[in-house]
Amino acid sequence: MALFGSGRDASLIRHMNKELVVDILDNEIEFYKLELDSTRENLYGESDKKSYYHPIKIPCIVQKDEKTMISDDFGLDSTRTGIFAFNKDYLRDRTIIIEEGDILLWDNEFYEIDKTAGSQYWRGTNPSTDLGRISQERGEFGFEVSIVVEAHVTRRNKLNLVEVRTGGNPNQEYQLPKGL
Amino acid sequence: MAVNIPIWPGSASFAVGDTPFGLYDTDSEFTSSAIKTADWCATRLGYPLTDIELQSVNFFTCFEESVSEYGAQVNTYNIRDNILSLYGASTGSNLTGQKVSPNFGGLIELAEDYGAEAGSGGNVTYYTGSLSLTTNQQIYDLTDSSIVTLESGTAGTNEIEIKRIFHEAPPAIARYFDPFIGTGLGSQQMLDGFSWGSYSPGVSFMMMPMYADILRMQAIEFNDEIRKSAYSFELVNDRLKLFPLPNSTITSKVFFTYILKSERSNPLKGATGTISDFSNVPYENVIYSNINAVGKQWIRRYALALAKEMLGYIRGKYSALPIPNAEITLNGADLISAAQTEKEGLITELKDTLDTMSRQAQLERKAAEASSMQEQFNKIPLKIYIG
Repeated sequence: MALFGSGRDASLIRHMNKELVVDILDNEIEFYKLELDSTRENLYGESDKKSYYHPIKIPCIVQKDEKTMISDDFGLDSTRTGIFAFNKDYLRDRTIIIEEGDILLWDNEFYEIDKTAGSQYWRGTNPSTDLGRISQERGEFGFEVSIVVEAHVTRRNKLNLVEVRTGGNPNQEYQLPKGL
Repeated sequence: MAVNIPIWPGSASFAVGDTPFGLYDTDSEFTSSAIKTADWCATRLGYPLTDIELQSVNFFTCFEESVSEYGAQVNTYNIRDNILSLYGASTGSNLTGQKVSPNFGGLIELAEDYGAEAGSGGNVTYYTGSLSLTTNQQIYDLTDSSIVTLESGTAGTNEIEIKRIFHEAPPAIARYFDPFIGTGLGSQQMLDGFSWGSYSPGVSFMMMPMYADILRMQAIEFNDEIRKSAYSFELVNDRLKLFPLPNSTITSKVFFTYILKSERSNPLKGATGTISDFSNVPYENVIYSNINAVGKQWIRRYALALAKEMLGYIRGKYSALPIPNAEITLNGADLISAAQTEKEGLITELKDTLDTMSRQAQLERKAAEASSMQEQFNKIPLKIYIG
């Protein structure tokens, strides 16, 4: 029987996380969920024209890495990676599932998700899979804190979300996505 | 479904039983103040800009404790200031909010021990006892129950302390020889016939100056002491030695007064069910609606300090709290430290204020006031009357 980390304490942390991520930081990204049904793929399961659902805003904590320049046989290029940490409760409450291949828009850059991880447990226990709780030997213990996403900046012309080869309206600072 | 404990939603409503002890729940002024104080405390702690991880019952608990603390401090001061006047009073009447009139009861009780030793009152009974004398026996054992009779207790069994021994010569005045009547003790017999035997012969006072009587009485007493074995005794431990050597013509008994040592040493001399110490002085919880604005402001400030401390303990239960992909440390330690400083300050402030109102302090202030006033009056020029 665990003594620390009960559901009552987890509730406090849940409030803290919600307040910090949603109310205090309020740092939102746009999340584009890949729509597999509308995306045509080739023999190898690849697609150069992907379709996405309408974006939704999700608050998260962003760690944006420095841009890295790459010089190879194809010329000079740049890349950037970022880590996006989401409040697990927030996602669960809205039934949002983040997976590899989904797109995040933040700071005018599109990030393609490479890896998702959900193993940040408070007190080392995931209440959803806690055997003691499942077998009803004890109440809720632990807390599943986050979904941490690693992503890299991807070229926007491949995404078919915004026009990149045409002139935009100079009076319109933000271009609405297309191909949704 | 995950446990979700609600936190302060921004408003509260009070119901009887929302405080742990329910000491003031039926006081409508308390209940309305509790709601307002909860709102005030939450706002002072940062709501609505930040969440306050407390519920209304937490604030109500702080408020109730604050009222009780205020009452305890005031009652403690009252007990301390009045205890001498309250010793021995009934424990049945509630003294909260009552004016206690000072009295000498406690002071006299403290002095009763001295009175008992001095034989001028006190709380230890003086008993009478007697010692049967034997002709030509000078030394007697006071523990011998065959010769010692006690009003209370048994000689040799109960420890006694002799307070007075009645072994004295007849007064010199009773052996006065009247030089005018010239018949020696015959005049005494005559006076005895008129029931004046205990007094100096009236004729002597009529005919002789007072100094002559006094000189004659001194002569009789000196005669007894120097030429005769005067009436006296020595009492050491349990042995009584009498002078002169007893004979059948002197007396057959010597009387004395004594106390039982057990009665003197008995600490429980007062009646039961009366105020005996700090713990049973009947001061009850204060009535919130009777507290003045000064007190209510103190209570609010103390409630805030308690709420702050409670919030500090909640935020500080875990040294670090997880947030997505990181950990944070909350301000629990700061809140606790600040709250404890505030609490100490408030208690000290209240105690100091109460101390300045003690009887002793008031008398000192009055004395200083009178002294200063006198000093001022001394500076007023005096008129000079010429007439």
